[in-house]
Amino acid sequence: MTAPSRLAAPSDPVEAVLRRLSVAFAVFGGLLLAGGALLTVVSVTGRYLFSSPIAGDVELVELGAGAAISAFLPYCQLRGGNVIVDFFTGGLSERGRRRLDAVHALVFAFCAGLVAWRMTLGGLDTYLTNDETMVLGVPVWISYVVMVPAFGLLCLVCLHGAAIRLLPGGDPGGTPGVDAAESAR
Amino acid sequence: ADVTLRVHHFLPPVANTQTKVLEPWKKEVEQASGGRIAIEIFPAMQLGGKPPQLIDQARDGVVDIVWTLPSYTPGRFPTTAVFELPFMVSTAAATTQAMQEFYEKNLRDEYADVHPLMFHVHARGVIHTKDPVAKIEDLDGLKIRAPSRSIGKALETMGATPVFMPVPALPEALSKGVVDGAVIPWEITIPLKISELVDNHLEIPGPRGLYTSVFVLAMNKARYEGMPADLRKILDDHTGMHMARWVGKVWDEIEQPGLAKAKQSGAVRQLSAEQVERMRNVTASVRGDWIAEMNKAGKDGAALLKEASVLIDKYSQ
Amino acid sequence: MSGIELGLAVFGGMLALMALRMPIGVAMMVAGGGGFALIAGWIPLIAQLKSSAYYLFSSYSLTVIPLFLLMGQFATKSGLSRGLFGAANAWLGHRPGGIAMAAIGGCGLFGAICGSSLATAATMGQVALPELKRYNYSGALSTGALAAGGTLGILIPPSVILVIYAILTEQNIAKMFLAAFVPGILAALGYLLAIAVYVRLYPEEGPAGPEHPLREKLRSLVDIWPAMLIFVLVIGGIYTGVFTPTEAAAFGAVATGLLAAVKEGMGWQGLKECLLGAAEASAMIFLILFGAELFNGFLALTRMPDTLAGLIGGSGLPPLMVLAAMLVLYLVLGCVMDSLSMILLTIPIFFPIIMALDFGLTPEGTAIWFGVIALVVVEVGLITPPVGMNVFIINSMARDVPMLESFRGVLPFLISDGIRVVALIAFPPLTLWLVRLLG
Ligand code: NA
Ligand code: NA
Repeated sequence: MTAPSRLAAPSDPVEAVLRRLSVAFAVFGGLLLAGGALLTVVSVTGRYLFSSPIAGDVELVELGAGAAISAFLPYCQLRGGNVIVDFFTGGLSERGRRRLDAVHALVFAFCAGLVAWRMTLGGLDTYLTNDETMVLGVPVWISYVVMVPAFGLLCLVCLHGAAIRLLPGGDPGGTPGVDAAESAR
Repeated sequence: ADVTLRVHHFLPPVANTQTKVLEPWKKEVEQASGGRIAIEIFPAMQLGGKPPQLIDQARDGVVDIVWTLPSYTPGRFPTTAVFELPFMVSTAAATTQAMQEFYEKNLRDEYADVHPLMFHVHARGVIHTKDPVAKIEDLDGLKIRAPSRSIGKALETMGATPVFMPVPALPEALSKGVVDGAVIPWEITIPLKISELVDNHLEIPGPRGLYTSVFVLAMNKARYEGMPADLRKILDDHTGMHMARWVGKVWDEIEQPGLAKAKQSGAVRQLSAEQVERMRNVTASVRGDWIAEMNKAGKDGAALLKEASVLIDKYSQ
Repeated sequence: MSGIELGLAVFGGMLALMALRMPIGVAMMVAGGGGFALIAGWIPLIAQLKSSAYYLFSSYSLTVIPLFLLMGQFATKSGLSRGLFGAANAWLGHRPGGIAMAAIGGCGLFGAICGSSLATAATMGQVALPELKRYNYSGALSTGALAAGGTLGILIPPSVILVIYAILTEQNIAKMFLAAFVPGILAALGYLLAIAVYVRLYPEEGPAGPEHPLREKLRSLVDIWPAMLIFVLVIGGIYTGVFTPTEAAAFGAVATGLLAAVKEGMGWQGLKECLLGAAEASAMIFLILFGAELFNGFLALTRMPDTLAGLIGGSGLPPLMVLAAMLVLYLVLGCVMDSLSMILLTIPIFFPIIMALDFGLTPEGTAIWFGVIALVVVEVGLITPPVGMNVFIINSMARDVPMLESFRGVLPFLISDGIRVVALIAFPPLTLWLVRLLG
């Protein structure tokens, strides 16, 4: 375990809250995923042995997966886990790289915010038009209830990442957020 | 061209939908407008999204026109489902025209978000199974891939286990035994190679068949209303009932190759008249459920069902 | 600006953003979304965003990715991975590059239960990267071998793309799988050979360990029986039709999870770690898929693939040159598109062109032969620089390895792939012999 960086210090309460929320979202999504796996196993066993699968297993897994994957996004960004090509910028100074990363974090924040806003409307749409699943008739908007806050949180994580790279006293380098999240695990 | 219309659909470009319906229609419209309307077809969800999103893509103007199934978004087009109920469909030609007229009279509210250019249905579904099926009891315990909720319910009433999966997954599921059979029309058995995978094909003869699916060619409303009046007239003249008439016929004709192919390698049987009657009775509850659902929504379900049926009879003569 | 010019300009812009350290998923989103809006307007773009994330993330066929990643986490937690690589070390560790060869074998076996190269690469990356590091293998060789190994799954059933090709071109699915068998074996052998040559040139990158006595070798097999049992269950389930490949992923995750709970006493804390590990890797992949979805939509809108394909078809070049031009186009498109989109977009245009040319084969032979070669090349596109999806994914899992190292490590495998593609083109019987024998 690495020593706690300045980020993880209790003096950054924003970081602490974002970290906790991101971990909570990711674990919740993971449980949805694991639940989907269990449900599938039970259903397939029922189908094979007794010719009686769980009705609508596929669509429940789909609803869960939609929510789960979006719930994973803030945690991945907080850990600096998204794929970056680093070999053209190797010659830049630490400071230069940090500025670039800050700009990208702002762009990503814009994208995530845009998706969160649009999905709020999309979720309302599916509510108003009664979109539901094929077999069980489960309303589709319940996935949006998880997805919209997840994208909102992703937006906040990106904004915070940009801020700590630009403001004085921020993390001096490396991949901001990693150590913090590491100590949360 | 003055107006370029982008058409989006989910099937591959070699599918009958593109080669036998959308491309001839494109040619017709482009010629009639003297090139002032241009139509670009984007198959296989090339512009992004998944098939259930198509109807929203037309509503929101992501593209101008989509070809899709209303049943991909269950709950949104409940009245349309009357044509998909067991023992409604006759020929594709007659049912398609009936559907088009039914829309003009009863479904304008249901499709208020888009401008439907044309509705059509595919020919009646056939039961394709590994083991021969000659009566309802033979279906007992079989896992059958079902295309929609109402046919799934119908299969359940007959003792089969409906399994829902995307069509492209069907060949592998059949070859591995994940399902024992499927209900689909002959047309789609060719690209899916169903006759290589199962040997028994059961047609349900008589004036009405087991089931069909409804398709819609829908346009973005603002885009339609924003077209110059003369061009809109050209579009009107080449869609609606005019288009439904020839598209319905096409959908009957493209059944033949699939039927011929299945006859070469397997057994094509027809359900006996007595069994057809039994099947009709057993699945009556599915029609009853639909009526109840309509009544609950404040509509007269029985009257709508009757009207749809009368229209199908009218065009069947 | 014509469609092709706009397509190339936006493509260049996207590469520039990537070179400037923008996360590649975000770069694809920005370039694809921006390009889409330039052609079709902003309204369609933001309308699409209302539901595109939902439909992509909830796509049933894609759920294999997070499920297999979760399985990989449990496999590591339960000591399965360590046991497997312990056995590999006991049997092959004294050979230079032996453990990397075992990892290639693992990719091949995993490919027999998984139909997606991204999922194969990511899962094997999770399981094998720490182990390769433990045995002092270099970052370049480790990441290169796993990125290349990920592409093996496509030729081994179940393979989603092979089925899609058969449906698009009306070929017999069973014959397509037969045809893919020898090229698949050749791919694995070629990769093993690539490792052997590589470690001969750079012995310190895949160091040989001490020879283990037979007793130890045999004992190492005892440790891996749970892994073997799970593998046999899953693969038996797929091939006897108890479940589909997607359902197999759920079975694998549940079985390894139970094993971790029973064998290693995994509790809530351990479960949480596994969930977080799977979460991070899944999010990374789906962000790229989300960006690729937007970019593919833009590319289709420019009609660039159509136009290029038309140029090739109408060029009047000799048959082999036409084929070569198509394969080059696949390598270029492979930079930004996933394999499935490429096949869906191009096969309907390419296939009639190919069938009209004379390669000295029967029509069915031509169709099968071309299909296998096209699929092989599409997969090669996943590991070619500057943009190779598999390399990116593996590299981001190995945090201490620079991207350049990974592309250096993948080079020997690319050379092996190049030789294999030329061989498949020059000797059609490599593909068609088994079909004629058994078909
Ligand atoms: Na495979
Ligand atoms: Na590439």
